[in-house]
Amino acid sequence: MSLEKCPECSKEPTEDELLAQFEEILDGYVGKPGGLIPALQTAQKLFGYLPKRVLQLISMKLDIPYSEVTGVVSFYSFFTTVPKGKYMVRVCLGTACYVRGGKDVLAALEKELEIGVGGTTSDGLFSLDVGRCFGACGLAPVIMVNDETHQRVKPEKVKEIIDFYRDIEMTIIKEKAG
Amino acid sequence: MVTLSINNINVEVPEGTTVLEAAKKVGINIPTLCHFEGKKPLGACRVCLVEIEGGRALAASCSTPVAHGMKVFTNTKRARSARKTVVELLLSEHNGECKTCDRNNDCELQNLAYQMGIEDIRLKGEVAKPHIDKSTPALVRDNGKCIKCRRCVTVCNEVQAVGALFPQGRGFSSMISPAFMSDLETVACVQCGQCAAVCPVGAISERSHIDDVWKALDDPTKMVIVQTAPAIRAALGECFGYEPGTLVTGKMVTALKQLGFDKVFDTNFTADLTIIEEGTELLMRLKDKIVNGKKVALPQFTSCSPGWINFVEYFYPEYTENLSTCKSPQQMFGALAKTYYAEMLCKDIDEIVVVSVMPCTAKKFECQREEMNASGIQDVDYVLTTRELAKMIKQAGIDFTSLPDSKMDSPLGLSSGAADIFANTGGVMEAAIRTVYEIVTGRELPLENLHVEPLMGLDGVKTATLKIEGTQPDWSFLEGVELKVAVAHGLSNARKLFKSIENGEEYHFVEVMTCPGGCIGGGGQPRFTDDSVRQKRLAAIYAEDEGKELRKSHENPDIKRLYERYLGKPLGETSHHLLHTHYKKKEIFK
Amino acid sequence: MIKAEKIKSIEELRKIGDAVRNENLKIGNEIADKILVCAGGGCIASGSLMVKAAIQKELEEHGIQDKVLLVETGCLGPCSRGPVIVTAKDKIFYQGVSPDDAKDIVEKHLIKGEILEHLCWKDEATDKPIPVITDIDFFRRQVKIVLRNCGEINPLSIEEYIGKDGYLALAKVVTEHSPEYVINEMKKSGLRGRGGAGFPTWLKWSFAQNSKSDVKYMLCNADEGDPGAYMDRSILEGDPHSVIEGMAIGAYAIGASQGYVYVRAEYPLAVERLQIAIDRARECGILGKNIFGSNFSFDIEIRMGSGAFVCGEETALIHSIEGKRGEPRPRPPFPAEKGLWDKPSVLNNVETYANVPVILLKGGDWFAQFGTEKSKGTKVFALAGAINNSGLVEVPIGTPLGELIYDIGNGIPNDKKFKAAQIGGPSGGCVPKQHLNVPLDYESLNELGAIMGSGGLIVMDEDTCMVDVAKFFLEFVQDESCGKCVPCRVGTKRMLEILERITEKKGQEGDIELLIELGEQIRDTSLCGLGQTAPNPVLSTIRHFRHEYESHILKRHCEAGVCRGLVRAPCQSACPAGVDIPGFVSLIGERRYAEALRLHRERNPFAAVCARVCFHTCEDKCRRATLDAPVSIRALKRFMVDQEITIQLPEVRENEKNAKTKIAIIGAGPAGLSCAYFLARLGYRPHVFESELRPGGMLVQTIPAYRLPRETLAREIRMIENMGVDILTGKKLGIDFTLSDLIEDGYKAVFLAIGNEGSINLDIKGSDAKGVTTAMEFLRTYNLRGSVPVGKNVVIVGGGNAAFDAARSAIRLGAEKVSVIYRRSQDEMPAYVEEIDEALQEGITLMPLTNPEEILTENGKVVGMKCTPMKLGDFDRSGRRRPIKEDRTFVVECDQVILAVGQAIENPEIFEKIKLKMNNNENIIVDPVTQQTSIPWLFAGGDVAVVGNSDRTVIEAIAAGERAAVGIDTYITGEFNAFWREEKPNDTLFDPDADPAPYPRVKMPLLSVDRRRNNFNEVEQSYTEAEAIRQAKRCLRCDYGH
Repeated sequence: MSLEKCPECSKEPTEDELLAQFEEILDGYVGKPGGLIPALQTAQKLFGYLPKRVLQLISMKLDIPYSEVTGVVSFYSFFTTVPKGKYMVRVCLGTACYVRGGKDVLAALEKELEIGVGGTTSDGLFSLDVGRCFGACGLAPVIMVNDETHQRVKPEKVKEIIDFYRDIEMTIIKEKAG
Repeated sequence: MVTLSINNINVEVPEGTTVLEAAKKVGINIPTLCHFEGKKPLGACRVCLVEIEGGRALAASCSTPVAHGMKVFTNTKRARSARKTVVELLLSEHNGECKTCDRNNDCELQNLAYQMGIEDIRLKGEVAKPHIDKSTPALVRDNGKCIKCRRCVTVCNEVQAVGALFPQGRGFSSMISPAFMSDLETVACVQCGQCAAVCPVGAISERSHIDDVWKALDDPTKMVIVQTAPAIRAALGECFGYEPGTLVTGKMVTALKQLGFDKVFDTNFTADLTIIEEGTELLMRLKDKIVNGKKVALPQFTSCSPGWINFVEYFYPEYTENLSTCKSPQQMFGALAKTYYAEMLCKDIDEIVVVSVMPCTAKKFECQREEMNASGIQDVDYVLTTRELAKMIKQAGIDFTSLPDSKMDSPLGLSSGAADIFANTGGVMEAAIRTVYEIVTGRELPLENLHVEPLMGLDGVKTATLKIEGTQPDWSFLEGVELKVAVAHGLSNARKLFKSIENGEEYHFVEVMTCPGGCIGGGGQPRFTDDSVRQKRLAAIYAEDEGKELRKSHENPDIKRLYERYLGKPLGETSHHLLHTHYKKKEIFK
Repeated sequence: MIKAEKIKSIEELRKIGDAVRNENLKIGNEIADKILVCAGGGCIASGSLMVKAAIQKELEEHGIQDKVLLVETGCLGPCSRGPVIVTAKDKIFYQGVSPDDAKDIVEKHLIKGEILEHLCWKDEATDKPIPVITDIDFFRRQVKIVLRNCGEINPLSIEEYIGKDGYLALAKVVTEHSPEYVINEMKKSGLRGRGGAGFPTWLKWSFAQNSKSDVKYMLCNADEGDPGAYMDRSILEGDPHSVIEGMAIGAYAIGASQGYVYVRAEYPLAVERLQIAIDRARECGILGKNIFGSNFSFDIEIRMGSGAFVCGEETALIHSIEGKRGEPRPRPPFPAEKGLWDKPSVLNNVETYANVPVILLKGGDWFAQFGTEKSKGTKVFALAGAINNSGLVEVPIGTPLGELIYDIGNGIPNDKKFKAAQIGGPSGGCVPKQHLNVPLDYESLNELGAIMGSGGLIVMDEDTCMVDVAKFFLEFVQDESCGKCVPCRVGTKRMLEILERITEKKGQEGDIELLIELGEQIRDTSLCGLGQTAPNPVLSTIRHFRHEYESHILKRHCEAGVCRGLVRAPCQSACPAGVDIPGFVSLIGERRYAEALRLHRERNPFAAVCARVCFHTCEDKCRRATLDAPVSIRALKRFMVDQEITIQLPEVRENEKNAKTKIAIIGAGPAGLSCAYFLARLGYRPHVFESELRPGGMLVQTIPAYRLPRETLAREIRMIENMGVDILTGKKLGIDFTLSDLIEDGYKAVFLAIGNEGSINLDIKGSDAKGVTTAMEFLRTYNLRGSVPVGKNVVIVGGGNAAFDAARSAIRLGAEKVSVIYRRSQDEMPAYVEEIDEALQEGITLMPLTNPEEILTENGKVVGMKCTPMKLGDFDRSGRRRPIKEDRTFVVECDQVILAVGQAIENPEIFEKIKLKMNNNENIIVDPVTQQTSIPWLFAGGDVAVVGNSDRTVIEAIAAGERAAVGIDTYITGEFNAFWREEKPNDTLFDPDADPAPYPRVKMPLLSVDRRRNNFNEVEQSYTEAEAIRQAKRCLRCDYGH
């Protein structure tokens, strides 16, 4: 998630505000060969996911049929059309991690977060997904939480990792509450 | 030229020819599923695999260009078993029951399974996810049966430039479907049915009105009248084993009568009427512009093709004013049947059921448009496609080939050759020119056989210019004007035409037919419309036209009578009420 | 610091290079040192940036921040040891550095010049620190061409790259040479595409060069999707300019002016660093118009992938750059003709491009000196999985696999056995241990059904199930199949479904054949490389590990204990007899000893015997080992059996018909008696014929009493007799009776379990001398007769359990010196580790890597053994290093030689009359499920009929006996009646949410050496009850909820 915050009031911008912002960015992709995927990547970075109306906007502006836009979106596993949790937990199931117990780590995470692969916790904090090799095979098994890599994760260690992020959130909530 | 051998038979073909085409040349048919004539090969279905000497893996003949000295073997054990495995795999994914399928006995996959000698289902497992989409009036899609050959995708995107269907998702769970794997209703589908026409299996079909029609026919309190579009007669025969391009007008009429229709009329009749109304409309627009200096929408677009109307409403809403306000011949017929004809018979409109036989799936949509109830209720009740009509004839046990000829009924059955050619791309334009020219100059169109040669044939966009000289006094403002017209068929060509208009090309009148070739290549026609079939149907239609004494719409005596007795004059008040309508912008995203 | 700006000519470039090198010389003069901190993806994940910050802070605190340069570099390779740092001045390599070490690094290392030994790499054998990086085997044995700059320079600094002669090749090429020259040098170099298929790079370039078009593209495939390969990531992160330069040179050769790098989305750091590098190159005029003043213009843009493995396929990648679904399209036309936007394009991968600048700088001939005849240069491999030194290594192509795994990778951790290396990811295959010598080159790997691929090399040990691995890869390709073509979309799905059912206990006969058929068809019919290679992991594992598939399907057993559907608990699965280990262990934890023992004897009658002699494969698979150490299952069993007062009989189902059916068992060893036990439980009254006077087979004949007290064995044999089994001793097959006699006597089935009583003799000079014997003979003589001649100075030849049994018996019988000579290393001795340890305690001398050459005699009597010292060479078919003789010999004095080099069927002729199918190991071929031989009424088991690759152990024999009992019963009745195989629910208390019991594993108490060395008293002692219960509670209860 990388919602761009308003520098003045540090409030998170609304989706409408983001849409206006995005429309401007999108102009840069009009007429650019092969611009669809970069446009989608930019949109996902901005919104955290790809809302329908953003896809419609892209379809209109880049003059690509809507069905084709969603056909491209649904082809690539990094694109998502539903909002994801604040922390994207991805379990590597590349070969090295798989043979070093990545499956068990995944099972432990599913148990800890009480969600399945592709799911998001009801508090919107965590989403769980699997990845195919993060290129950290020497440290297998690994998981990534957003851009942070955790190495040599054992099922027993999963709770500790998740609690780390839960604690961060608790601190934020407490600070907000003053 | 390239020389190669196929199954040890030498063959010489031009460079760039595919192995598939070369094989056909020496009488070897290689099966295909995803192959789409004239389009870039996809190589998706893998049923056209052949062995090429020296090749590591088998090669898809549809996408492999010939090479000098190439040795192709289409029937080795390796090639045969590979093709068989591929078909077995397709069957294992295919989620459908042949016995009750719309395409039973008319299914390319079923045929292949038979050809390959598949006698048991060895491979079992998860099947394609079923999802039946009945969201539109025209089409039914069943994803479970889809084999992902993507012919519909090619036709929808490349031929029609509509882009309603596209592969969604990835891998085994991928689907050919509108955005978000949802229903057609949610995207800008023009309902042309070209997807249904090219689908090799029962995954996309027209929404059947057969049961409704039988129900009406069975109801003794109803008078069921049927209109048949001009394109039907040139194609219906194919469903009964006739060569493409065989005209079966007379047998068709007999069959319809035997099915129990009370009256068999001709949409051609209202095609003639359309020419009068639409031609007059064009002249009025020209007059308004030239004489009255009014701002009018030019070029005027034809409006007989409901897919085209949808296309403009969705994608070029700024051009809706350019569309002729004339209803399509089908809807003009419906309106007249439930007013003029009903009154003539002193029938209540509820007692009359109007059925159309159309080459078109979009007509099923059109008859349900809210604008289309000039009589007070829905003017056209049911629309059968050519394929549905053939099915009904078969259901009734009628031996079509041995039927005698019959004639259409009066008073909505008589038509000119100009109406016949409505079925062909360029036909409406030619028919209009025959009439308009004569109205303006008082002389017959001075062209051989009354044909506007540049507007004939299968070129995507065709244009013609006609200099008007020696005008009648009423039309003297047109003296010396060069009438510029353009014709497009297949909506991707319509896009090209729009592009040229946007680039400043000026036309007075533009004909667009949704389907390639015009109505003869409609989405409701017997399947497998490649260009050779289209050509034959076109020729048959022109032959029908040329064989008639009556060649011009304005000369149709029944039309004259209709104006005298009922409509008054073209674009008059009654016409306006019954025969004209308006179009509006449609939202692409719903 | 030097900052490069617009570089307009080759001279300017050279000047900058000189300046950078001059600055580097300052280290040691004006600048104290430079510390290279690895900032590769792996080390960052391990916290190297925090280490860097901590060092920075320390430097500042000591005020020497200007004296010591702290530089982030790309990956150094040994990722599993991160964070790692290297000091530039004296090349000291520190591993596993934590921020806490920063103080020591600054104060001790930098200021005082001390080496921090605890952070150094340790020599495996001696545990001595190896401080200097170039002395470490892992680095020393590599040849770095591609990774030449990784770990040496700051990847973000174009100046440092130029300092390493970066961009010099490009400058020379564009100002001095023609495109033809470039292609010719590439041709001479013999470089082949490193993306996997190994297509000659020069050829690809020349195709594109010959395609006529005003627009051409140079594309770089950085969509490194193969799980287990990350060299491209490391290159982009560690030396991005080398890729830019390689692309630019290629672009010059083919006439392209625009390039695209397609990077996978999982590599944000690579994207970031590459973008910085591109920007800097552009600022310096190295990208853009008129490069180095020439007419050549070229620029590069990055395109990011969005998570689709298939985009590694060239046409799919091109579609993806075009903004489409990344689906492949048929070739021809090839991209060199019609590529990106239908223009001629060349696509190479990152590693390929990184080679190019060096080739052009040093010449194609220079490059061609590395590698093999057909494959030149080096290849980067990503070592991962069950290997000690996982990480990135670069070696000349053709380096043997074993060298990579053992010399550079330092072998398999946790004393596990190497099973296979998976090379080439989802398109690749497995190389099993018998091919460890395979040279890593394109052709050799292809022959084995693997591929070089992008160089991902996953080492798999005995804990890896090959069916599961195949399923993993198929799941992967199913997930990543684009779905366009039928064979890949549907075919791999069908294959996956078959594998799923195999691993879920639902495998069917014919599944293997169907997998092969489908696999071959998919390979032959798919549209693109992904589909064509998708079946490889399956076909390759079937080829090399077919028995594992068979075991899953036929025996419903997963040897590695991985497939959950087949494995209740890994320990139980690892037990050849399938004993319910979590069951009896948890019952012990609740002091329900009798129930525990009864549960044990459901599957294995010899609880007390196995408590002493079992090889305990169960403990090797115990999941507790991932936490601390395995549960001491055998010790617990020992405690359990010690609680038994009067022996309890198991459930026996009386059956009159069975009681009348005559069944003969030949051999009263563990296999024969186990078979008798289970037959008796079904109501049979089998007759056991034993050639010796005492039943027990090897248990009594060769296993010494200090390991297995005789009464312990006798009790369990009595139990079996009490169940209605008749043991007839002194009846020898072939002498006292024949097989046909038995049939004539009305026996309906015979179980042959005669063991391998014969010994293999060592065929060396002097082996017929007086004083030479075999271990078998030695032990049997003592055990059956009560005495045996023993020398004063005894040499034992061999490394198995028999060797140690003989050695320890000899000590006990008065030998003064006992030496065990073994030709391989101690690690490879097949004897149990406990045995070796205890033998060493008892004063036995081990002489590993010693080959017996000749037995020296005087007057026909042994006086010594002439030996050759051995060193380890390449790998033999068993995956062990082949010992090679050194050039000298020495003599071990001795008066007795005991040979323990192997066993054989004593008299194979006894079967020949009945045409029994044997394999070349003189092993009877039997059905792995029923132990039935090629003759329907004859079953065989134990050491004469080893199934698959199982060991010749007591527990394997017991298991074979049980299988035979079930096989015989089914043969006779046509039904399956083995009621004991039904899983028993475990009613002991268990709280799955509670933390695991914290106690460590405690060893079994042993009798002290002086109390055991001179007698045959049992060495191992039992736990106390309190200890036993604590140890039992260590069980993680993997069976729970199954």
